[in-house]
Amino acid sequence: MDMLMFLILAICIFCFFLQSIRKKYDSSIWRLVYVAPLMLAVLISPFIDWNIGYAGMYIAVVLMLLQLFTEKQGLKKLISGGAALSVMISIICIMVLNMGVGGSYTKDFEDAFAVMKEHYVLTEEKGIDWDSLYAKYHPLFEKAERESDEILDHKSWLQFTQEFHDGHVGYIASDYRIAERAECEIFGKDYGLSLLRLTSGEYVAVNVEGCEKSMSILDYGEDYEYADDYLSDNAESDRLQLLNAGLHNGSVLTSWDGKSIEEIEKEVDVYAETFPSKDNEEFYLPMYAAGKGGDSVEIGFIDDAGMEKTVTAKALGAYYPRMISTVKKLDDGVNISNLDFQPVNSDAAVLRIYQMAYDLKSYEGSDYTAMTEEVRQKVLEYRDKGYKRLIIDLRKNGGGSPFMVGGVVQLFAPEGEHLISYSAVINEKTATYERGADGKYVKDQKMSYMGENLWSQGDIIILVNYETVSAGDMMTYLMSEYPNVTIMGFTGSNSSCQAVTSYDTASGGISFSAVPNLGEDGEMIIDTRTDRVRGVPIDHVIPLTEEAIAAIYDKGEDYLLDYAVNY
Amino acid sequence: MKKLLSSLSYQSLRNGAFYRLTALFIVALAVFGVVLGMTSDETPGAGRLIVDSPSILWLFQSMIIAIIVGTVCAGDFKDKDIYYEIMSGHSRLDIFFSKAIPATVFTALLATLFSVVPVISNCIFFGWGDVIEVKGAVIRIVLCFFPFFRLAAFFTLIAFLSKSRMLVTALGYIAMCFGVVLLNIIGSHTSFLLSFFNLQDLLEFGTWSIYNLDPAGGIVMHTAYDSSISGSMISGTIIISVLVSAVYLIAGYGFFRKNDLD
Repeated sequence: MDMLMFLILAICIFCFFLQSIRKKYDSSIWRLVYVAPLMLAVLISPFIDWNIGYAGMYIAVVLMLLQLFTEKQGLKKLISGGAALSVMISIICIMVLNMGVGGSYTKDFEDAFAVMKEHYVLTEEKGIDWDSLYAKYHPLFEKAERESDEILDHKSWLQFTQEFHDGHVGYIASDYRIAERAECEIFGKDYGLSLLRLTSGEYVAVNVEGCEKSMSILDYGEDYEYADDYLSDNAESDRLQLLNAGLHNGSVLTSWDGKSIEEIEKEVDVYAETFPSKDNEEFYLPMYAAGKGGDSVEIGFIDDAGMEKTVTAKALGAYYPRMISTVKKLDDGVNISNLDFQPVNSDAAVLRIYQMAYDLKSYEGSDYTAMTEEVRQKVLEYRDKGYKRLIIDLRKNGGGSPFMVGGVVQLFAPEGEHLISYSAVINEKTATYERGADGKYVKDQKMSYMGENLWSQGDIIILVNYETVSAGDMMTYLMSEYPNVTIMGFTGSNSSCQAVTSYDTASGGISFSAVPNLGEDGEMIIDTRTDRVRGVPIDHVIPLTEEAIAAIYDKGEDYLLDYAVNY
Repeated sequence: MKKLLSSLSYQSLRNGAFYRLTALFIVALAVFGVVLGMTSDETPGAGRLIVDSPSILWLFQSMIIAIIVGTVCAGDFKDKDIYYEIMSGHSRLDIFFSKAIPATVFTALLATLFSVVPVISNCIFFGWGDVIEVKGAVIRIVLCFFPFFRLAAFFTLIAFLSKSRMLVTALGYIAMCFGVVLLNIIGSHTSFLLSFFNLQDLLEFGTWSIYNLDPAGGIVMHTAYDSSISGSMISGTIIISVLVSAVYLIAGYGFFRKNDLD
């Protein structure tokens, strides 16, 4: 399309210079030249979105047509020159100033906002004030559009979606390259370490550059295409700056850039994820704080001799890859296939479920009989072999079908009928859900299951983390009622369970809770409310200790699984 | 201009080919309307036809617009009638607009009426249904007049540039064949400048799909259509159509006013 704009410019310039050497009266061919820019603009218009940057081109088209109505060569020359200038302005606006190239960020926001406002099902439960959200974020998207700032656009989407404190509300950029660049810029600089807060309240360094099991800036891996672009000139020579100063995984940090780490935490204004419950947010907050600072930061820490020291840590690159690596080491579950069993010792076995999906046929329907039978046989096999403890690893379970949840939990539930949830009555005219006079959604179909109590001889431990979400949350919630089940993790599960839908915009897509799952009392189950207290219980919060840090970040062990086995 | 207009209407009203062509289009569109209803996966009805197959309401019209505009505006170049009109003292302004205005207005009206044909035939056999409201559909179809007018103005410009009825007809055929393909290739757009985009947007109803979890059937989808039309869509359609049509017609006249007639 740019070529066609240049062609229009060429025609205008051609007319400008050749006006003086042509005949006094235009031939038909000459007159066609005046119409040619219009035809080219017609060809271009289907392929470009309307934006003010193209106004110059359209003005040039009209100017060129004016030459059909005059025979004065001087005037024609003037008009051709004006048209050429006008196209040049358009070309500068579009190609140099990138005007409108980033797309209509404001319209994307307005469209997505309108859809969410109409169809988000937790508005009342979460106390969403749509007007104030609009007032807060609309100017940010306008600014992003005005300045063609795709980073600000991305950050604004992350911040906007996090206002809902709902694990189902999220934004994914349609161009992964924009997302990666934005996240490399949004989450600050990498000083060669990440941070976690121990249960005792101390802040410790983790994933320190140069430690054997830590992420290294020398190899970001396949997941990052642009992270190398952010490396500082001296990144390689500076990369062991912390280790050389005596700061390693597990070192207790006392200050950050002259401030307490609590103060630095207050500067965090955006997350890569959404944390519905407040305690989960607090757990991960220090990790985000570790990206705060300028080209270097003064880090205060306690060395191995117990002395307080400071080290000047220079920025090595973008912090985002290290932050994600820190979460991954902390939260990844057992690496075996979905629905696979694996003995841990002679007494305990682990059942891994990282997604609530079995096969495509069952995913679109509700019949999980084949899956249930497959799991049943395994459960009976381990029971008959004398295993007493079953650890169900739901860490990082991203959800899926609630029918599959029913198909699994029925094996472990006490005998009798148990409720999964009720669907809500749909208003088919508006494709929205009906609320009754009491403000609650009106219950429709009941989903339930019959318990088989196949593991009554032993206990069950469910391992969760904040990435256990949606149907993963639901399974945790349902099994929390069983007498032989203990739910544990460093944090509770995500607490987001209403079924999700998505809406695509030009620059990406948002997802949000759009289908209510109701309990017996008609209230929506699991999701946090305005107080941000988790909706899924956790029976035992595993303390994050120095021992845990060493096991996870120095030895690469699955500390939580070991903890569950020995609990 | 009055004489030119009455001569054009006299000529057109006695043109048997025009009546046969019109009848052919009406029958074809009516049959399409019924066949699409019979083959619909959903409960059929005229409302369902509009939301599921909006292109049936506008795609074929580009052909008839091109044929009529080509005949009215470029036909006289071939049989040299236009020379006689000039030699008999009519100004080029009168000659141009006595052809362009009736051709554009009439074909836009005809194309809009043709849009209703498949809807009516479908409605006769299957009823209206409850997918969309009649009022919303009527407003959108009536507004199609404006992009049809713009399309006719564009073909008028081509007719006066090329002086070839065949070329205009061929362009109409190409537009009909590649219109939907082009829209599918380009996908999302915000430009109203092309008539086809405008027509597609006018006949594209806002939808929202949602689902419920049915213990027996699994995920059961429900889709609702929004029959209302925004003020910006209405004003944008009218204003841009009028402005762009004016540019096409003025460009056509500008070219014709001094053009050699050899």
